[in-house]
Amino acid sequence: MPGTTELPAPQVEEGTDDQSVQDPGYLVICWDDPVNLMAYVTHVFQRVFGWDREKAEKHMLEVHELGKSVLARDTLEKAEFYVHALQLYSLSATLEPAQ
Amino acid sequence: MKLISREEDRTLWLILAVDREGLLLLLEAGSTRPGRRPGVSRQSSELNQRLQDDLVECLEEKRLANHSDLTASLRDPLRCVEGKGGFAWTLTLVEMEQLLQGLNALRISAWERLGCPDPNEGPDLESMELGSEVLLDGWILELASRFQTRVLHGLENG
Repeated sequence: MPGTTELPAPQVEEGTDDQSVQDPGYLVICWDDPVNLMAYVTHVFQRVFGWDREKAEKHMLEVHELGKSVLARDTLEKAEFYVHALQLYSLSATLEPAQ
Repeated sequence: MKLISREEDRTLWLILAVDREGLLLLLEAGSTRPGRRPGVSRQSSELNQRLQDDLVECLEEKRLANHSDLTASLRDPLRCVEGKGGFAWTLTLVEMEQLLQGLNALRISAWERLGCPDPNEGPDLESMELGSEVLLDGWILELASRFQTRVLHGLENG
């Protein structure tokens, strides 16, 4: 493109403080089970994550059709908080180390 | 159980006397029957070892507290006011969530004790001994599902 200067590619330094580089974090996953009602799962996602209905339904359908849905990626403390909250509603939720 | 009105953080429900009695019996039956012991992680045994006990203890405490709070609320004449045709039951939004959690915990634990039957087909009654425990779990599953559906319907459309 004329009149522009090509910038060097960004470099990630060793030992950077950027947490996302140092620590991939933890995934909060909700697994399918045959007993929880779809409307209930949608409601729980809205309450726990503050999502609107459309987003909550999208993840609910992912759980239903694909067997699981990744709901969040966060620090261990926050992922643990979400899993506690989801299990309090008796959903099959776990946290897994992000690769 | 039917939603009558909803303000900022309060809901008012009409609950028939027979439903109130059923809900009290349900909460009473469920409070002595612990549910599943969920895992924290499917892939990391290290996480499970570290966090599992805390989670199970926390969930069990919360389950018992939910049942106790809801039972107290249903029995409180200022919160659950008897009138013509039933009771007017006031619940905050937090208590609504407690109710949904409590009902679902009852459903899931009864379903598991029944052998995790396909919800569309129901339990395999031919292979089960139809003793009082099975009948009680069948009743818990059915009634808790009915209340849960009504509450969700009320919240969605209220």
